[in-house]
Amino acid sequence: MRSGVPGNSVGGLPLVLPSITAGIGATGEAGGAPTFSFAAGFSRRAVALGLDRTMELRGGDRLGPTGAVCDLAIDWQPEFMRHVEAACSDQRVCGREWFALPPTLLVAQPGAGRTHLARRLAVAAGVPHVALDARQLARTLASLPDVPAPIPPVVAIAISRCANPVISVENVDAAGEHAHVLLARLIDPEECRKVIDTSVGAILDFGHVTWLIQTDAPDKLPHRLVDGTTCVRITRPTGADARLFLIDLIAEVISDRWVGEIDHRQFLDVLFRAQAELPRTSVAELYDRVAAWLARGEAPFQQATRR
Amino acid sequence: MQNPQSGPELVGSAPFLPHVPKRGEDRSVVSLLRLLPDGCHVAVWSHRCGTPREADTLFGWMWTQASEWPVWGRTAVRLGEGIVSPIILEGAQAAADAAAHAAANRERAEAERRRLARQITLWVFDSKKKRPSLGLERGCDDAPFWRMTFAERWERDRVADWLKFQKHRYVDFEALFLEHGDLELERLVLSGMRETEADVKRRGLSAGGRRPLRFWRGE
Repeated sequence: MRSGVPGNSVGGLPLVLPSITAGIGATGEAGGAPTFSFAAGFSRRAVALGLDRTMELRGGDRLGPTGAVCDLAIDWQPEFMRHVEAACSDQRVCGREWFALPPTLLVAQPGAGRTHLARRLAVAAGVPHVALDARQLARTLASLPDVPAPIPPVVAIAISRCANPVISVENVDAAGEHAHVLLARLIDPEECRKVIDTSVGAILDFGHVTWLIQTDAPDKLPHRLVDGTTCVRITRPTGADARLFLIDLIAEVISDRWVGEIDHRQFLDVLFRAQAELPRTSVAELYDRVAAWLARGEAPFQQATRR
Repeated sequence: MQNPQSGPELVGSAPFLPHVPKRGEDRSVVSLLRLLPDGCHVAVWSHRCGTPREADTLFGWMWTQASEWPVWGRTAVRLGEGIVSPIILEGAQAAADAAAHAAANRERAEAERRRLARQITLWVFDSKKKRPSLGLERGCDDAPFWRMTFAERWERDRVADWLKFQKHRYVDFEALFLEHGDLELERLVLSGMRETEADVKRRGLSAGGRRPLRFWRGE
């Protein structure tokens, strides 16, 4: 059953603003996450993709000092760590038992590992990660007879059944004005709670989504987009931190690609080789190379010997 | 100052550190502890050694590898103990092997030094623009402990003709040198040489000329 409060009409349609269900916080006996009504349909008909069914707000058990912050442990990104720590503390103090960060601009050169960082955050916080190409936001404008499609994160939220994923927004710099306007609405603390999506016939609430917007030139983005975000600068790890970063990367590849058991020699070989390539390779390229090395099931030095 | 006996209390804010219990049944279990933000330590890796002594050895080696603690700890947290165990244990084994090898090398070097120290060699020196000389030198040293200088080369050779057949007395020469100084040793050498020369001349074995012992063979 959908919970919500009836409000004013928008465009002739009844506007039902979704709100947090009464069941929120009732995590004790069932041990489950709080639930949340992400979408309110324009009518009593079921909303496409089952969006009107309650969804989980996850990560409530990761807000403490031994939670997401401890698991992240990326001391080479102190600004980011402080940002996450402060956000977790805010959520805890306000009694919001789920993970959420205020909209954040991750500022770094391409290839510095911004997406990797976002994925690490999602894993540490226990929420799904969604990669969103900002240029896709501009394509959501459709006219008949085209079938309108929901904006990309909606599908991911529907699949994951989680209303507070971490969404990495890529290619913002090249996305264009329409995408910037829509993105600004999605991250605005007021407007994001009542985003009308005619493709699914519902009003959506993105209020608990963590937006991590990647850019290398925040001064070139519209003020409306920048003003609503916290700017966090990301640096490439060097020295001893590089090895720790690469361990995370290798673990990510193993988890993503369902790589079977690897032995310590293979791990060390991949680690040393990745360490040699890190200064001259983007993190995304390095991810692919590590995946290739691991998928072959043999260490690079063994491949070289065989050749 | 941190040391293996300091325990977790005195290692500051190190996120990972090795640990072995000081007492109790688990004295043979070496662990890698993780410091949590709330101040607690949790083990992210542990290994049971055969004996507490082995555990102490492993722990002592781990303590010397402080730069590796974060790497081991992170690998254990991200990829599991199965990857870390061989890394640590093989590293410790390699270090033990290297230490044993180094100790054996040291022992061999020491034995060689002792052997060379027992050897005293007679050297003659003909340096340019320097007066000719001879000297006695221990095998373990790079300079003679005693040196005798002459005005002419034939004088030096005359003494060397006698001295080279006194090898069995070199140790006594050194003792005399250490006790009474080089002048006393020179006197002993010269008197011994003259005595032998007179004896050889009496027996009709002298070579004659400036070096009577030139063809003497120590008989």
